[in-house]
Amino acid sequence: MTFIGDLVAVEWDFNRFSQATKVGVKRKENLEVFFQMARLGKVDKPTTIVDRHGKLLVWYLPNIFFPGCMVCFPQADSYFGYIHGLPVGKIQLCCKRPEDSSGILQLFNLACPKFHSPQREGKIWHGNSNYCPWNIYAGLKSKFHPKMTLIYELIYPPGLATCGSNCAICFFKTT
Amino acid sequence: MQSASLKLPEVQEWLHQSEPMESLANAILSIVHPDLHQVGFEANQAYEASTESDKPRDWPSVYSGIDIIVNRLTPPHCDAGGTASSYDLLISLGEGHADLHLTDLGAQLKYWPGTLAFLTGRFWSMLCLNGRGGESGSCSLYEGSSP
Repeated sequence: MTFIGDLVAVEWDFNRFSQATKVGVKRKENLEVFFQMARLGKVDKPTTIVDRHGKLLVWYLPNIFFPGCMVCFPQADSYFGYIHGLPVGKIQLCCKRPEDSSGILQLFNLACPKFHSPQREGKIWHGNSNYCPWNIYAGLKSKFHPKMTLIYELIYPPGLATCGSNCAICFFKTT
Repeated sequence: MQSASLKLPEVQEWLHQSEPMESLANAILSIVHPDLHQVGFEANQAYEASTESDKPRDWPSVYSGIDIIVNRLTPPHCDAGGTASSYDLLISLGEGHADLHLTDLGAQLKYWPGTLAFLTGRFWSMLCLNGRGGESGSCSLYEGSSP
């Protein structure tokens, strides 16, 4: 299980909660008596909420998408237009594992089991999706708790990042 | 079963335009929850294999359902088709400020544009898209029937 940001644990068991709230079962008005409902209040930073056994309940990633990217999505082709000038197939996600002392970047090849090629296109990020989200999470990277260990950092291959930070998305786990 | 609106040209155009965002969400899901991504991907493949249409299905997401809500306040509700092992994905759209209330957790999540939240569909949630600072919307992706 991959955790990210602040980790908040509620005191109850999610499986029991699911049984009490499943379809066809009248929802108890005093549910919070049985499950000691947390009062988490306002949440505005990356947060993972789990139950007492570590079962993931909520994964909250504020501002993960670069706002300019969101606003411009309908015109995504023009926003990322300069990428389209690159040869097809040159754009690949990279995976840098921090435990690799060699510092050599490991290319995510097309056979990587964590990514599947779009059926109609045949290649990752090929065609209409021919860009990578290098802006997302770049600004949040430094805000993570020191007990978080970076497990994945998806970046652009060296030389292809032209807009400042080349960090695309980072995934952390608790230590 | 496909939604009838899926055949509308404007819906097809919207799906086409939103494909980059969906690809992003797919990539994130493949790391956040690889099993769910794999199941959704295989379900899409199985569906395509079972249909006889020559026209490729223009469905960009590994989730089977997409809802869009804009500038609305929803009542507290949960995903009636949600299961304990799957997660719905909510993506905040637009430019305005909004809030996502998780009633069962007493949590009020800031729902800024570009925010992404995976949550189990068993929780009651309420979206407050009141358009402060501009229009705000939410894209909900889920497996199975509409939440």
